[in-house]
Amino acid sequence: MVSPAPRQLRLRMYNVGFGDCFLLSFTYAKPLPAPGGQSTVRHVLIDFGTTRRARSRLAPKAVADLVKADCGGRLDALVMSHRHKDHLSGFGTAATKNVIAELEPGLVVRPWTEDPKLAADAGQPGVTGLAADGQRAADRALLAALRDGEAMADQIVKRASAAGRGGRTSLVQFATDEVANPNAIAELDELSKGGRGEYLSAGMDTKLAELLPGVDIRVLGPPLPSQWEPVSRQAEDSEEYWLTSRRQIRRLFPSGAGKSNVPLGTSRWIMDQLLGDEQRQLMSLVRWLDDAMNNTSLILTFSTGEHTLLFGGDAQIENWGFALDQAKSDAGLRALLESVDLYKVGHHGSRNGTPISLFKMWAESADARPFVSMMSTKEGVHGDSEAGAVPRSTLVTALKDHGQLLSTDDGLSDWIEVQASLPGGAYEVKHAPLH
Amino acid sequence: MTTAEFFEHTAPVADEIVDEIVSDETEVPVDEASALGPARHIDMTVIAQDPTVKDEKGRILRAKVRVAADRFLPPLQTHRFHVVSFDPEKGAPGPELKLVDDTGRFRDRFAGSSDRVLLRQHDFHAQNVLAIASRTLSAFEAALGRRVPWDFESHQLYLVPHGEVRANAYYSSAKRALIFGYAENKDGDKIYSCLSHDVIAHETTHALLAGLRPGYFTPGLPDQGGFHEGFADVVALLSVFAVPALVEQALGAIDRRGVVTRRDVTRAKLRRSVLLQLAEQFGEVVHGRRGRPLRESLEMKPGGWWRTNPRFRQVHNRGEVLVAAVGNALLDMWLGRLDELLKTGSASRRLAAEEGAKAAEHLLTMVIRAIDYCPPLEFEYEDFLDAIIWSDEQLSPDDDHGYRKSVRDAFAVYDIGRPPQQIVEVSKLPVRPNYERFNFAAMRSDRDEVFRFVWENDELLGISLQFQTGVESIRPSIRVGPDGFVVQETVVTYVQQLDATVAELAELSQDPDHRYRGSSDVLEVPAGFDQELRLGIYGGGAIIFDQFGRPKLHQHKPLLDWKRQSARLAFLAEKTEPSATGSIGTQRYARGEPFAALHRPDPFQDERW
Repeated sequence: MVSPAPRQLRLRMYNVGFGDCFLLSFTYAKPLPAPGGQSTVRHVLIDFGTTRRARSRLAPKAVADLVKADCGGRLDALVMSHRHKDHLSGFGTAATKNVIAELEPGLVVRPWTEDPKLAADAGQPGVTGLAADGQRAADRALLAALRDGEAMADQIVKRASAAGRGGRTSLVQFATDEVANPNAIAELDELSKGGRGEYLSAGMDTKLAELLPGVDIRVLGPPLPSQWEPVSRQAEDSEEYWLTSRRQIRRLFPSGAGKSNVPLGTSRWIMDQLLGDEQRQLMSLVRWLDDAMNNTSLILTFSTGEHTLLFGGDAQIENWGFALDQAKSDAGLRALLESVDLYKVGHHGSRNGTPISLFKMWAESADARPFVSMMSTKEGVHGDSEAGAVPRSTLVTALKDHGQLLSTDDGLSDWIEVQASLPGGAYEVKHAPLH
Repeated sequence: MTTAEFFEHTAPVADEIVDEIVSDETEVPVDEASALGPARHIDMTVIAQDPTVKDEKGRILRAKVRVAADRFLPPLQTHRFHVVSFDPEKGAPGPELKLVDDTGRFRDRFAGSSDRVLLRQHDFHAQNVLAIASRTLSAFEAALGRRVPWDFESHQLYLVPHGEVRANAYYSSAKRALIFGYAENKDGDKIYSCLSHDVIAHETTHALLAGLRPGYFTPGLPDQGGFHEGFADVVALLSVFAVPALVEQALGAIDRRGVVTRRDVTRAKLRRSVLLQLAEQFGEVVHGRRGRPLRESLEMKPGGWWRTNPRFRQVHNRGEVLVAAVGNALLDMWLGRLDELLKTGSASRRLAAEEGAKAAEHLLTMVIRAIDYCPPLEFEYEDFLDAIIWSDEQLSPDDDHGYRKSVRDAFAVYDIGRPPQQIVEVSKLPVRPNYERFNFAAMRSDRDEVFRFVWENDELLGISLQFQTGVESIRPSIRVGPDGFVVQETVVTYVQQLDATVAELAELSQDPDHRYRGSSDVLEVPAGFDQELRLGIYGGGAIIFDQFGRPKLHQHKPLLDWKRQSARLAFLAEKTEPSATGSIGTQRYARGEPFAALHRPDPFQDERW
């Protein structure tokens, strides 16, 4: 039997503020089976989270309601790109989680690091209680480092709060973004029960393919550390590093802190320097965690008709690098990447989220098809230097030069969408009407 | 005291062992006056290399090293060092050090202590770091014939034996400190970087070189970036090799009876059994993180292939070339000395080892002395070779042992030769310098007076005063040559700088009047490079004045040498991201913690926006 091909695609980007929330929908000519009946549309929700409210002040609950209305009260699949709050908070907060749960997603897709069966013992850095046999040492080490890092972030935030210094230092602010989101994870674990969970790494097949007939889906990331070492960069020397961090956190906010008990004199100065250093060391751990977690992001392509869509969550270069490296010898993969004409801008437009060599594939391609980028971001949230600013101005300029760049931060619309008739209809852009 | 004398006094400690430290307390009278005046040095017990290197009885191999005598202040300070007891696990001061009594006497309590005591006693850790750092400083002062400044506004360098719980050690100019970390191994044992001779010597060298050549932090030619690591490894290697006990122990593998014959000491055997074996253990604590052990540097393939090899375009790898060349020179010099010793057929292992240690100490003096003859920036490896040869010629014109040839040959293996005419013998130029309105006495201390000399003699020196020129340092030095005569010199360094856009510099280079001595080279700008980016270019040199205030030698890196500037720009374009103000290569001195971060390359730099 020839599988039916969709006749229309639509990608709606909700204005969550600093975060991601996308609803990808494919419309078919004939109804497809669905729980409790049939439907001509299949909906996939890709991420739902935020750390900073949108300029329009649209609340997460309102976004959840929009999603519910837009998918007709039923999701076929839910994809969580990676574990950061700005991609999953909506699955866990009291105001929104029930709305999503009622949409009863038939499939919950997450990266391999989220498999509950692989739960590492966060109490033992470098040593894991992994249940799964055969998981390679490098993979286990990364997983343990991630969980340990989350515990560390959690400690930093809790101790800061107990010491009455919540959110005041940049270390605490950074750590807050890294804290594990237990409510959201528990909710997603619940939704994954009954064999509905899927945990992917680069090169695996996905059940999304069965749900979306006529759409070719490829999993390009994340690679396992045992496949591609750079994805766990610096994790290998983490053992004593994490041990140290634990000791350091204990005394980060001691009672009566603020005065060194070293007598005045030449020793006092160096002692103050050494103590200041520890803060920086912890900061570098938190930054490592941020990078490593971003690099667990799923990278997915959806190809149908003449269009290819690319979603990479917050993947950074260490994650993208695997696919880009393979594309050097795999002409098919290279052609797939070159054919992308709708790009979910990686990592909210940061300088690390879109590899320059990937962009060059599009910019230097002979194919002059229209190119659309969709960027969910909010200026002024991250980056204290020009180079570190999110979104990065040089990337924004390049994407605008190459095609159309749609950013949630450019207006006050609740959502922006791109739709196209299939197989080859041009993309049409639509904004939500302003209230 | 020369370095040779200095190292000659290193010797293994006696075999007796006393378990409890308090029972074998050795008082060292540092201020005891003799007929010859106060003592010039004291002996301190140290771990010869690191705790993994054991003697024949399976104990940690120790040595006694001579440390310059000083007035010691408690807890443990000299006028150049301040040892800080810190507990990084508590984030608080560590246990109080008890090495100096109230009268300023230093007490070496560890001459007969057990391994356990050496490994655990914080007092010993402090002593070990102070002794080796101090010994390294003395080696520099003896070779250069003067005091050597730090690169910060203080006379004392902090030594922190337990600075952090990480397998790391680094020099921090901002903290004016050498920070030594420790980590637990898989068995739960603490591995201290402050107990590794080579790590301490390596980091102390970073601090010393930073003071001697602050310009080497300027983003620039690849060799310049690699020199800090390479030179620190070279000093560490030679410093460890200059401990006869270690060489003797390594030689033991050749003949356990204690006799060495000609057959035992072929180049291949010495290389494999001694040099590589010693290097194998180098920096296990921290070098493992740097990617490759020192041993692999010493085994580098001959040839000039490394210049274009991408791995060696990374500055932290590039230093390996220097280690390889110096390692070969050391073997050659040692073999030369053994040749003499073994004329009668055989000799004791100890004597053979001492010849190796002497070769190492001599080579160490040569490479340190060369720093004065190196340019203040725009450094290339050829300059280093040239500086070793020139500086050695000044002190020992005869080269009886053929050491200079050994060094030249060893560098030639890696395609490093002496640059023609890089160092100009000013005293032999047909034109005489202009000394009018010139005060000789002020020349030894006054930068303005030296600048006046440059001002009056710009043509003779080939310096264009059209561009910003400044005298960076004046350093008088006094050294004693092998013939017993004193060689007195004043080493002056000056720096030239020009900041402009790349387009402006390219245009300037088109004008024949703005090229060094009739060269036809112009500034080559890498394809696609942003022409409007601001670029800082540099030149400069070192002028060596003799005891009468006459210029002898001029090591010159012309500002308008466009061939060199093109090579630098190509390297900057490859490696450096413009600063927030849109400039590149303009930051002369390091900010932050260059050594703490040096070992973290970014393989994906080209992929970021």
